[in-house]
Amino acid sequence: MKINVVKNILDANNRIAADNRTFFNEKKVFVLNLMSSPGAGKTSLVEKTIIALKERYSIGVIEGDIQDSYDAERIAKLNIPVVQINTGGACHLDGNMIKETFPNFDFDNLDLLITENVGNLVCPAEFKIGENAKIMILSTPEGADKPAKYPLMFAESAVLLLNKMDLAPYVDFDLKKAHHDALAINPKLKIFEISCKDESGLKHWFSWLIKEIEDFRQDPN
Amino acid sequence: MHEISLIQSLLTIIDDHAREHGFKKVNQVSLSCGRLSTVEPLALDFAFKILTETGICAGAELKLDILPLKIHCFSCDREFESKNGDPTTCPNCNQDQVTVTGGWDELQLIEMDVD
Ligand SMILES: Nc1nc2c(ncn2[C@@H]2O[C@H](COP(=O)(O)OP(=O)(O)O)[C@@H](O)[C@H]2O)c(=O)[nH]1
Ligand SMILES: [Mg+2]
Ligand SMILES: [Zn+2]
Repeated sequence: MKINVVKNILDANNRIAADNRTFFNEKKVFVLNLMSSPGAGKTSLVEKTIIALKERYSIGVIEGDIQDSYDAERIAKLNIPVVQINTGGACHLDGNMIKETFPNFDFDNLDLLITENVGNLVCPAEFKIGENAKIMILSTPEGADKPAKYPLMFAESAVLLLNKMDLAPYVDFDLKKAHHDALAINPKLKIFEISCKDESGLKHWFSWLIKEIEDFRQDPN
Repeated sequence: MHEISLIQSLLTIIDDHAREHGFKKVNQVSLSCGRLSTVEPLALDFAFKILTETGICAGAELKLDILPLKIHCFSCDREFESKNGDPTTCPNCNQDQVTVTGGWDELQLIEMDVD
């Protein structure tokens, strides 16, 4: 007997992510899902963001990157609550992994939760975790062909940070192509050119984030 | 790369349906995924095989239908199927005034053959 079903296979994860989102709304916690390939600069960006915003907001971090607890230790040095998720080699964070970290945070006193996803341009894009915004980092040594090769992550993200701009002249990064292809895939994408090394451009990223957090606190829904 | 977790989700959905509709055996499972979804067909097959050695899907066949990438071009004012998988340019006129209309990251269970 044939039966028609037509059901999204990621429904179960989407449901958990939606529950997480409801919970974060109640607690007024703004959540970022930070994605990139390994070494593009996620942990560096988390560090810079914490240093810039920690007087203004109370911040927590979830580290999903596989390189043991090295990243978590970098964050803990900044006196920020950080939870390392052991993905057991998984290629992405999912809604349930985020939910399991809840007992480790004091959400009544948290404004911003930054999750550093597993370094991977492919899988994290398909799994919602209950975030307000997906943020993607592409670093200049990776090349400007990445939007065309990995379109899904660009399509899902609210912001693209082009990192390691200090290296752009040495690696012949085609800035025009990167902007062009990324916007062709996602016309709403906000693109900021930054360097976590010389800190150029970071202030535009901070302003964007502050505005988003303030809008959210006015009207979490 | 996450085919194991996809199959686990799939099996949960199938178990829910089995409970609801009272079938005891699944012979065939048909899925569809968009050309740009990150599913790797061989890895999906393998994950299905090892996760269904026992249970209601034991011995069942997995069918995967890959939906072609569809692009609407505003310059040509019509829809095209993109053979090369590039979502940023029109396969007809090579311009970039395009939007993807199908074959993205959809991943769906479509139908099952059951007893
Ligand atoms: N030159 C340069 N190096 C950077 C920049 N951002 C990060 N890095 C370096 O890139 C390497 C990987 O950065 P990390 O933040 O650990 O990347 P992650 O794997 O994405 O978390 C480290 O050695 C960083 O110091 C940048 O803007 N310019
Ligand atoms: Mg890291
Ligand atoms: Zn055209």
